[in-house]
Amino acid sequence: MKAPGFLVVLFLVEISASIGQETFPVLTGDDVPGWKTIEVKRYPGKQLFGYMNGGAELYREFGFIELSVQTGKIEGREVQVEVFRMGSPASAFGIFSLSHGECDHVPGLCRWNCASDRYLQFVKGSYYVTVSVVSASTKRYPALVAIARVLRDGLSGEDYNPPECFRDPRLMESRFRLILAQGPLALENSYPDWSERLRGLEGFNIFLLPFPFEYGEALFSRVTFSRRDDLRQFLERIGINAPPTQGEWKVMKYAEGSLAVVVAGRATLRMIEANCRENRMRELMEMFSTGL
Amino acid sequence: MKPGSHHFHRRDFLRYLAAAGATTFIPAHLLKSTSSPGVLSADKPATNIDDALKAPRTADSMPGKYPGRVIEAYNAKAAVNGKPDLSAIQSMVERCMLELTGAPSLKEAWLQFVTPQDVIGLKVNPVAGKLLSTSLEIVKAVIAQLEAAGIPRKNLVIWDRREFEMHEVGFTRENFPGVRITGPECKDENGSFYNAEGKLYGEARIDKDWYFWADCEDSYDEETLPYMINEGKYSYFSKVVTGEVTKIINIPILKNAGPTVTLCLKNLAYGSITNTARLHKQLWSETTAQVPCFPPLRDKVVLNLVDGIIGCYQGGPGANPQFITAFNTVLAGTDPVAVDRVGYDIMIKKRFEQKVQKKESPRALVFANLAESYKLGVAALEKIDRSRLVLG
Repeated sequence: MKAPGFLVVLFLVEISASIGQETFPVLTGDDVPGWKTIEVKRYPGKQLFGYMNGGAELYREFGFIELSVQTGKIEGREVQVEVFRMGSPASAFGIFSLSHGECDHVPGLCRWNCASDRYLQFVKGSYYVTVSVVSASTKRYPALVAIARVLRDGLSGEDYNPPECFRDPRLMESRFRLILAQGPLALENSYPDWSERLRGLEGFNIFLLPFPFEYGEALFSRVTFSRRDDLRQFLERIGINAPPTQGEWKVMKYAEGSLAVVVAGRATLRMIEANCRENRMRELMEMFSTGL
Repeated sequence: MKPGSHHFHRRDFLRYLAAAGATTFIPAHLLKSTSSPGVLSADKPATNIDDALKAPRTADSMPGKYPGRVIEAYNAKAAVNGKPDLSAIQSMVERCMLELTGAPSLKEAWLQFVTPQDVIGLKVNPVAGKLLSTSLEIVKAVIAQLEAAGIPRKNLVIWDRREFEMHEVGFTRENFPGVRITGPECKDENGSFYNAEGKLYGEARIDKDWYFWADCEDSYDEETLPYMINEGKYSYFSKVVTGEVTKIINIPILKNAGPTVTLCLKNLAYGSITNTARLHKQLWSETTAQVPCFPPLRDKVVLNLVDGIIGCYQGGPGANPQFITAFNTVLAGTDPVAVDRVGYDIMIKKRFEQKVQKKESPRALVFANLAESYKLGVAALEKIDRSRLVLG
């Protein structure tokens, strides 16, 4: 009677082992005509330091799990593909949001992608993918898109959805400026003054969206703290000693402009900073109120 | 400097002084118990920087012959079709050397820093791969000028922490015949980091008498260890730095590290020691400023030449092709802090221009200010004697 139970245990072990092993898409000449693989390498966990040394810290802050790097040749060019498996779709989006800068969106590839002459990057599910031409060149290389399509089809997961408050159509027009940081390094890389505001606090995540409007630029932010006390500390640091009532916007003159802040939950706040009059600020708040 | 004590013993001083041929003059203030000059925040892990600061300085100690002086050579045609142009770079390095030293000839300029008896290490940075490495061209230019100054090729060593990365980007025997190319993190012809006894090859290439100790640690798996060589609180210097070379010419590449730069000091610091992963997160600025205070670096680095022909302004220290750009610039100076400060100035302007950053980070220059406080050079831009040469 014991044997079947033992088999069940073995079977479960086998299943869990296979769940733990992720497969990464590997390009072949069948997928991309003319492609010849030079090398495929995997870097799980801390081995990322072996690949990019200090640059690894930023990825690790975003919950990096494993990287697959494939180099190959096509039409005489050396091309490198990096597929980063991150801890969650948000983490994959976060590293993308910090990495893409000004570039072109490729329609039909996926929601979050960005292409320049020799480089294309995109997010699918928990994967952040880059495709780059390694050979020196200053010309655009269209095969990058074809390669990216094959990689996209080989990866599981959906397009990442940002928090609801950023889904106002007017804000979505600026969606490629949306940044997600999940720790101090990401902030240091993108909004260093925010890095100071959050210094010493742990376990936060923050979305920041600069939004141009006719009188200047507003900065929309949404911060989730791991502890309510961190939220209180943060509010004190920006000069708000009497936090707004939960769910209520509080507008105040702040530094050189206006500040509107709402505590939307136990440890989450939304904030708008802009150089504008209060009536204009009301308009911005309305834009950012979805899902309150 | 034996592990466990993290104190600089007298015999270590004497051994070092003997090896360096230094005079026995020791400034009185260095005989006192030196503490870090009030720039470290209390929440940072302790390090053995005080031990390094006690080591007597020599005539060659940083900031070298020309404190606070930086030459910036610019040539709009230094990169052609995204590739560095050797003849343009040769001329840029030559002009930098003449302008920096005021010497009447190029040979005399080089001989201000090195002699034919020296074993000279050329510290490159290949860590971001082919797209963003110290270029082969600038290293070829330096080697050609050193040879013309009478330095035998056999006395030249191209080095970095990662030997295999140097090979990958083209620092090979084929491209640099007669020049030794080495680094402690190395593999055999089968691609293994481990020898038949299961020991890392790298262990034989580090010097456990010289270390940077910091009160933070990390542990690594078998696959990660080859990139770090050891775990724990000690980071050991490479033997190439402590014992094999007598002078170092530092050739980093112009690139950002977030809102700051990774140039002369960072290239030296993280490129010369083991077990660096533990240091990036908590002690980036401190490590960058403190490791070059140790005599094997402080007293051997005679010149810094920043390869700013092709660099990056965002995405660094890794290579993101979108942000790789032709700065068409070479920076030169003996003072690594001043060179880094000028490099930062170029970088932050580019980042503002490209709208990847709007405000300077208050943390960006902590490493440079720390290095200045350790007397490695000049960090205040207004105190730097900066000459810009436009060559094309």
